[in-house]
Amino acid sequence: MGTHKDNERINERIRELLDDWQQLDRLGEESGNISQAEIKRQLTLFKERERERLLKEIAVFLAVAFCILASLVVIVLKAPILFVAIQGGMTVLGPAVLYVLWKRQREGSNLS
Amino acid sequence: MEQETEKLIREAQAGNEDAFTVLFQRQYPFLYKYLLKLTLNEELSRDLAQETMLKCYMKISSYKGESKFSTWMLTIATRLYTDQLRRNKRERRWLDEAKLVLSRKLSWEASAKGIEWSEMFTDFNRLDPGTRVPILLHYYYGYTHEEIGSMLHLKPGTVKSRIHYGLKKLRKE
Repeated sequence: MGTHKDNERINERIRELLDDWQQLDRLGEESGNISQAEIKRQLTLFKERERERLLKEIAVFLAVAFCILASLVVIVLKAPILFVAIQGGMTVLGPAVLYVLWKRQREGSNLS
Repeated sequence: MEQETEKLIREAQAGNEDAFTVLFQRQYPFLYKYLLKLTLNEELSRDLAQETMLKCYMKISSYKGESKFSTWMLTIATRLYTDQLRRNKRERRWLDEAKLVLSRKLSWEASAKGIEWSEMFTDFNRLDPGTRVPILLHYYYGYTHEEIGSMLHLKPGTVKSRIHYGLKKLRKE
């Protein structure tokens, strides 16, 4: 009996909400339109912004690449032995570190 | 109409901007009114609708047609709305205030048209967005728990319990 009454009350409240939403829809009727020209304008602005963002990213990428390359050239010219030592060391150390990490990960997944 | 929409979608996916413009113009009132029910603010609804449009424009090629285009659009709009609430705490406070009452312009228009709101409407708009959205989508737009689940990245059971919890809270208030 109680549940039936509760359901009735819920349905009544939902009906009230539905009426309110319909009223809100009617209010949005006038302002809820957009012209094709406005959509095109927004798309053009968006594409322009995206283009600028892309150009900025490319500029940053090129600047960073140039800095790295310049540093490498300076190191090679000023301290070639250090350069060879770093490169040689990394050739050996790199795979070793990767192997250790891979092993740890495998052990971790076996435990879980 | 459906076939025409499909044709416009295909053309927009092929990069035809005019087709996208026509497609979005047709969908705009539906999207705007949905956002209006969430935000109760026409300016915010317009901003979110614009963001949704740009997102749709970028992602139109990924639309597979598994759901209606309008559903896909509402999914994007809902995620943008909830992301915005989550991301920007300051805006959230502002939205919290805005959601309690209609914007000044809407209130004015409503009173000019003699529209009155039920007590339930105020109580509903005080609910958390995570509860409000499923109730709106289920009862007004007729989406099933499964559909809402896939729209909001939730399990159907979670959707059901959120709706149940929301209604229970409304019943108490």
